[in-house]
Amino acid sequence: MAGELIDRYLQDVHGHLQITGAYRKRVLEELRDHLEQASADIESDGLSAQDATEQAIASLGPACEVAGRFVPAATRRTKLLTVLAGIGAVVGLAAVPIANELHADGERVGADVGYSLVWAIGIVAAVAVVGLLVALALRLGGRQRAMRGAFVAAALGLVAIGAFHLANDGSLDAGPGADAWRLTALGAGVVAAGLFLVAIRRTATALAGSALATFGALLLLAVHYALLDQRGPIALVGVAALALAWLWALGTLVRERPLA
Amino acid sequence: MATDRLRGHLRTLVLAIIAAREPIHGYGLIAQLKAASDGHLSLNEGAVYPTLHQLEADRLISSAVDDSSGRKRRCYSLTDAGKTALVDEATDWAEFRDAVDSTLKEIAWLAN
Repeated sequence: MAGELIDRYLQDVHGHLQITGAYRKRVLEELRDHLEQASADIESDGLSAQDATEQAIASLGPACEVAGRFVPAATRRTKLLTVLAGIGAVVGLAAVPIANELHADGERVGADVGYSLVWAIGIVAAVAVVGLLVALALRLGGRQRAMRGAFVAAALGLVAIGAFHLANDGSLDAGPGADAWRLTALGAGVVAAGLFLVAIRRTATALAGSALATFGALLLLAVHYALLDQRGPIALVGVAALALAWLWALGTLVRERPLA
Repeated sequence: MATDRLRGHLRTLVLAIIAAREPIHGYGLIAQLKAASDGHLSLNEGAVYPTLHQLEADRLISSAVDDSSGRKRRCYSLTDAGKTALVDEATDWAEFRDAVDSTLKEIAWLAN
């Protein structure tokens, strides 16, 4: 009977946990060990097994409250690396239009590409603001939900970038690069959305996951500018900076795995 | 001490208990916290495990599964970074306590 009480309580905790995989298993094992030991100790003081178990469970707290506390937060190192990766992404984005301006002996070429890039940067900025607002709006509902809302908004924004490029005739250079450009933009949006969904599931690494997705999408765009349109060495610097940012985020994602 | 007043100091207390008793499992740590405070700390037991996991994520403690007692249990130990952090936090706390004591000394006459 006492064992059933613990099983039922842990099932309840399980139902409220927003963490997954090995970390969830570890949490449930630790809580079970705690409850069994606490029940045994209280029982040795003279209480019945059932009363002892009920007291042990009450001391631990309501299942939803206990489960809600297991929300892995990004470590300071994760945050620092993400900021550094963000700086790399900005440098990369800035280098690409500069290269565009300086291309072909100072002659401005590919103005449409520059125009679309400004729009792309604007959309990224808008997505960040929307994500922040969603996060703030959902804050009362818990940090987990807030982060989820922010990531979903950001993912939708990245898909929007792809849709924008597909819909905006002005950004589609005439010539052999046009099809590749469409596919790159669409692919970036789809990949970014998929990676964001993965990041949502692995909340301990959500920050690095979101950075990975964002910088991956931006890198694809930069590669297109630098290589397919042959914008020269400055654009390659941008690609290198974005690639570095992406690798940073990837390294962080690998190292900052949830506890197991 | 009320639970909400304890919340900000739980990390320091957990680090201190681990430093004194490592390796120690979660249940043992909670028992030590209760015993060390002589019942003055109103401990929210459900908050201890997330705190342990956060400290581990911050690499201030490490954990390993121990089955030497015949029962598989995750036990926690302090890392070098955790020792440094504990010393820093103990120093901060001593300074804070001295400042509060010094201020409250001014109104000691109220208690008489």
